[in-house]
Amino acid sequence: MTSQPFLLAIPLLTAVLVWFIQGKVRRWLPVTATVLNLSILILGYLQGTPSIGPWLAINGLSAVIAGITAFVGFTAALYSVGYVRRHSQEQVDLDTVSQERTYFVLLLVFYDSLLAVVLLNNIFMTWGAIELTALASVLLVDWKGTKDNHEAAWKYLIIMEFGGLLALLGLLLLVGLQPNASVATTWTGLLAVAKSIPASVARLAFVLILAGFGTKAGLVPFHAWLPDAHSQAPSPISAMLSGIKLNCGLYGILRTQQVLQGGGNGPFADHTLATLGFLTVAISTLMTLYQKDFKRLFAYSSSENLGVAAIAFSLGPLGVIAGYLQMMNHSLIKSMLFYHSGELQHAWGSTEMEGLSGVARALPWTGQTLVLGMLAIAGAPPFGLFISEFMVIFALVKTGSPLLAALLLLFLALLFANFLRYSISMGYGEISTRLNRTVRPLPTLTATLPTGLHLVGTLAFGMLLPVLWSLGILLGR
Amino acid sequence: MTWLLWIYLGVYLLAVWATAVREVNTGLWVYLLQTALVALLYGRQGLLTHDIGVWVSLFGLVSIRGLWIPWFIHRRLPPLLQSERDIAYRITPTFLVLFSLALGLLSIFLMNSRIGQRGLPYGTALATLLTGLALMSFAHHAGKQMLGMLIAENGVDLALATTLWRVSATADYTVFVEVALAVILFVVLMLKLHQSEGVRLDHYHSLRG
Repeated sequence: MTSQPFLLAIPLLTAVLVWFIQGKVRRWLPVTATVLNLSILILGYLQGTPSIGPWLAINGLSAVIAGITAFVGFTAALYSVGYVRRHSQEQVDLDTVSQERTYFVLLLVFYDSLLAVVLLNNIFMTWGAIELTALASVLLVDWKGTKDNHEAAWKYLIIMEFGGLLALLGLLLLVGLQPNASVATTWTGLLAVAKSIPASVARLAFVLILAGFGTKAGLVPFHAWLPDAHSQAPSPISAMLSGIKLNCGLYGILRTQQVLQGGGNGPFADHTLATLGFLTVAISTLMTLYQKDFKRLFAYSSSENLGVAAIAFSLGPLGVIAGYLQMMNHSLIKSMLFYHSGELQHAWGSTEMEGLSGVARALPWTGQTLVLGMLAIAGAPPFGLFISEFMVIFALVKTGSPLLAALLLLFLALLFANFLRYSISMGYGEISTRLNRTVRPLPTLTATLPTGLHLVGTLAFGMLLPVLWSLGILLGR
Repeated sequence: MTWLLWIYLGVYLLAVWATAVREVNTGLWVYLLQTALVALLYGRQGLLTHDIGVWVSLFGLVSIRGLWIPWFIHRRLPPLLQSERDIAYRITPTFLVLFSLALGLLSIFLMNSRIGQRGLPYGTALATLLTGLALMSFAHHAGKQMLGMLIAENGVDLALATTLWRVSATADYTVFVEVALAVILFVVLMLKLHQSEGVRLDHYHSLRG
């Protein structure tokens, strides 16, 4: 029996429990659900459970993203325990019980919709799940209820809705003009009839889907929601938005790219995706130069990393492996950075970088891992992102585009220098007076364990992958 | 079916005009008119194809899109918000209508040149979608942006209606439920904006996108 229905049912049932159960146990219920899901997924991978069904299906791409979702979902739920507790202690005049309930119920629905995106086989239900990821997270972005939160949430909702409609029209074009459209309403069915889709229809549909799901993936020029939503959301939600939700947007594009490749329109899809990827890397890198807010800085970096992943997936089999690694490493590091940004925001009192220095000495665990995380996301060795970015450049050279490889390298170097500058100015130097005055409690297990797991994960990728590559295991040789 | 699509185009321009110059309430009536035309298309498909799935979808369209959504907006939004006009539209309504007309013709031409005669509904859908984007982008009033989204969504339903007998009702209900959820969120956020600095979005510019 397949385990996939359980993966979707457990978070939903837990959300119902969270709604009714009161007290401290409520905060731990999402952790229990996500641990269960992670265990089921790992067992499923080990046992090789059936992967294709009429409603639920899993392929290589969805397996990778499901793994990322389950892992980051678990660490976000764990980090939320301490984050929400601290938030509740600081609010004296608000109904914190109701606020906590809303937070954890929405967190579970958000997590469930993220898993549903990659597990569902029906194209329109996948679309619905991608939409639900946005709808479930809108109120989470607005959770603290400030004016800026309202602004970010409104913008997020409007842009997500419009992106969703564009993608839906593209999907309807692909499916609706099929002679046997009822078969083509599943991803596997559509792939089977891909050759019968006229090239002009497939290309037009892909452009619409790229724009629609590109909005969800934060690709430039559809990224306007991303820095606002990421900077205003509670830190664990920013981690989920950046570490998981962006991947789900890219998933929609990649499934359509597979259909175009199956129908002989692969080069068009690859070129369009790579163009948007390059544009995203260029604009996001330049935008990081002018940021004054560390959460916005991390948000632009998310966009840049998804741009690199988009380029990777347009470069054939080697690029696909690089793309998987890019998504995994980015999710691990960026979620960790957002967890730290929560700690730092609490100690510093804002997300502004101006005047912020000496974090590594003032908050040893948070500060030092934050500096490491910033170096890791910039692509420094020995972290995993270095390997995946190296593989993308290698794949570009191998596909006969050395100039494009050099251009990408230039942007990556610029981003690296920029993050190095920010990490030194924030991490070292005199401890900021305001930072010095704040009470600095020892980090709790719910804060250190998620960041520790993420750091170990990305280090493992960075150190083991070269060995696997040299042994030829990674490329299946 | 072509004549119905041309009537739809007229209604779509009326929707653009009403959303730009009139209050949210009038915009809702035009949205209903537009939805009724899409429902007509569904009904026509049902009669032609004798497919029970089309009738099931029509029921969802009428009950969720046609009745529940306008009722929910009317019930939940304070009367003051419903009767407000967007006096600070970034462009004139006449220009917006002309712009939408041009956008509509361009979309239909694009789809026809790519797909042929079968592309007409998709062209109309794309035109409505792009006009919805224009309405959302140029409006200052949160309610007008929500209406822009609903009008854009009608465009996609138009494309759904023309392919209905071949696409399962699951697709329709996924879209209907998604729009219903989105409307709930739009209204909740509008109430929050109303309690904060009002629903005029030009009062919110601390975030830079």
